[in-house]
Amino acid sequence: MIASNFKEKLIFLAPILLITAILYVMIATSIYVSMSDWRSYKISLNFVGLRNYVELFSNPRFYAALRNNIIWIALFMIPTSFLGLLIAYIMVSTGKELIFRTIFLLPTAISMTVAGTLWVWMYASEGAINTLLKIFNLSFLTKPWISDPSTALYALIFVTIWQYLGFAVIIFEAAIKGIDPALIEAAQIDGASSLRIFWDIVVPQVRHGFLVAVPLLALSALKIFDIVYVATRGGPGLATDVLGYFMWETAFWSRFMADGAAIATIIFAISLGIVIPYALIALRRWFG
Amino acid sequence: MSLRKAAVKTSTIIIIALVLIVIAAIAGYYAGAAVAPAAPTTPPPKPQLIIYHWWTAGGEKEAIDAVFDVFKKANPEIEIVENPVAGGAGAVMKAVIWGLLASGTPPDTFQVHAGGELKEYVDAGYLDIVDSVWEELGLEDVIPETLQAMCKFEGHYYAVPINVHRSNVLWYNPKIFDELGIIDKFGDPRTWDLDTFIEVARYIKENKPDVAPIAIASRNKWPLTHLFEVLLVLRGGPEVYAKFWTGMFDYKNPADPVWVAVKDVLKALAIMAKEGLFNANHPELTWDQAAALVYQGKAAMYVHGDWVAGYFMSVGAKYGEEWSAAPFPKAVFILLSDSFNMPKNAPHPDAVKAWLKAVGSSEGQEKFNLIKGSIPARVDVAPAYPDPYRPETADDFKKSTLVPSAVHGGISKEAFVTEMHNIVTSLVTSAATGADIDTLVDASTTQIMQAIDRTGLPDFWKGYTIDYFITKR
Repeated sequence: MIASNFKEKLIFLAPILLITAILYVMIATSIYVSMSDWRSYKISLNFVGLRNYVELFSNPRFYAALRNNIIWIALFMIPTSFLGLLIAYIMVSTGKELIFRTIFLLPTAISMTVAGTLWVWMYASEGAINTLLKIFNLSFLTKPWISDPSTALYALIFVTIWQYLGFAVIIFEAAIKGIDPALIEAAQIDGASSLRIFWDIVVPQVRHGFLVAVPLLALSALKIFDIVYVATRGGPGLATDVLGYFMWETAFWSRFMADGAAIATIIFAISLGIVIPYALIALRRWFG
Repeated sequence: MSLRKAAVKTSTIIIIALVLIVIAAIAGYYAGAAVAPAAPTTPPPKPQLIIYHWWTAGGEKEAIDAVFDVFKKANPEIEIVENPVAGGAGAVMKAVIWGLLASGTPPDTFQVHAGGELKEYVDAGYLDIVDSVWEELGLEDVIPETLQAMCKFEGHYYAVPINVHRSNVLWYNPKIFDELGIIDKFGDPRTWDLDTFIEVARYIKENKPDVAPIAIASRNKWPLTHLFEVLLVLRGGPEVYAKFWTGMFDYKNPADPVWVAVKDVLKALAIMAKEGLFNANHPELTWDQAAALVYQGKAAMYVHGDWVAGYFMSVGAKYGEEWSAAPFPKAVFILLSDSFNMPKNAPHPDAVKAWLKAVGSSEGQEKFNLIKGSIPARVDVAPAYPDPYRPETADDFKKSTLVPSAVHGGISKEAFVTEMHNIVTSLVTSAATGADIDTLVDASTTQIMQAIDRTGLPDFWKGYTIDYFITKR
């Protein structure tokens, strides 16, 4: 049946409109709080304009955290999506889908908090990774992964790659399955190797998979909090500080709710920078 | 059925479904409100005490249960509705409490550190005066002035303290100390100054290279700031310590005597980090894991609060063989105290007053502290401690100079302490990678100056002087 008149369309859309309205009311409230003087247990909503933002932008920690987020986005988004594509291709072409899916979806199913705790133990100076390296006579490769400020961030980024790989695999599996099999058969008849097929047929055909995966992964990297909180609290020092952790500490430890809201608004603004181009491209693609 | 009839029928179903969902949501909201602490307009069917705390770990839980028993004996008709919220030394609980207080649905009482942490609630106007409980129990006669000051703002009491922990204790491995003759060469740790502490650490490193002279734990950051606060009292004395943590000094002037002492301590930390006097894996460890290094013989010394004794006893480490403790320094007692309060518009004010009386009673304090590993807030309560460490602490509580801890919600504003966590851990981390120490110390000093400004530290204690916090003896 078709919802032909306006009233019926409205009824169908009512739940999502309600939720969206509430969401935007909350975002607007948050933006207002970011321009208030709420810096204690007591709610205080006197308007102070952009003072909190000025103070935030003159705080060196903001730039350090932002830099870490940008590194996180770059180093997390690209390997995860490409590896996801590669693994999905191997999975589909060998047909061993059950095994692959189990192996790669298991980390995705674990909460970040659990993953963070597990990996801190594995990264410990006498943890699983260093112990294995020593067993294989690779002691020179052992490092204090989490204790060294120059490696801690990358150690955590690796954990998020490990976790989100399954997510990327699923997206690209669907994309690969959407490729017209005739294309691949034709290439195989012409004698193309698996690698050739991958580069010249599969990758161009799954562009829409990247369209889905890349913005979602970038947004995840922007919102990182739990793993930083559980593993290092932004440490050693502020080596793994990210905007999400900075926001939480400011709002809930220091009780500078207005300043925390300012950081949240900045995160929101940056994510708009990711989401809006994505939405425009997607809309153009779907509706011509 | 025709297409139009089907459309009408389906849209009717959808309308009915939406209406039902809205009704269910409203009903669920009121059901939830009835279960949550009720506003005073809905009188509860049975007298209750709705209490929030974070004592969920082994030892802590038994301790608070003992106080519940004392309370139940005196008030058998009041039902205790306990809300233990685990996690983060109260960080999670504080967030929950904040929501309850701000929304006007406070619990009857909740756990809070006496001092600056308590003051934040008082300043926000959420707490009621409990002078009557202090008067009835005569607490002013049996609780030392500093602890009174930590519960008293604008001349009124807002909380009743139940225990006292000491922050400045040196935990050490007696076997290592005996082997190297530390006490013979350098004297008892109770009398050491900052330079002696570093000398001892260097001596241990030279003679026992695979033992970390000083254990630290920086995974959750605060234990490192804890070390800073103890070393500041060691180097600067109680007045300088109090001035720094309250911002009551000329902080924009780098030559102020407080800065001299602070820089000495920062420099000491940087030197210790650079010379490898700390355990290198400290960013991976929590406070108890660092304590474990001592009784396992992997580290020689650990500067931390006396909840370490509770931890050692719970893992069966042997006093005198695997661990020993010395107040560090003995002349000053940095204290922290857990207390309970009465929020305004608490649903059951009579139950809260009865609870606060149980908390402040001799019996309650004796039973709680025996199990918890701390000492009573009242000096007239002397439990028969099974451990060798606490009798000295209880004695020092009566005889040493008292100051409130900064890291544990006593003398400072939490926003400032949070910034200190980041500054101190950054200093130690950078020093270990070989950066120039004087540059690092200057950079940290600038960061601390900015933090004092940014967090509004001097305004927090406006109207108070440092004498308020120090009980000089």
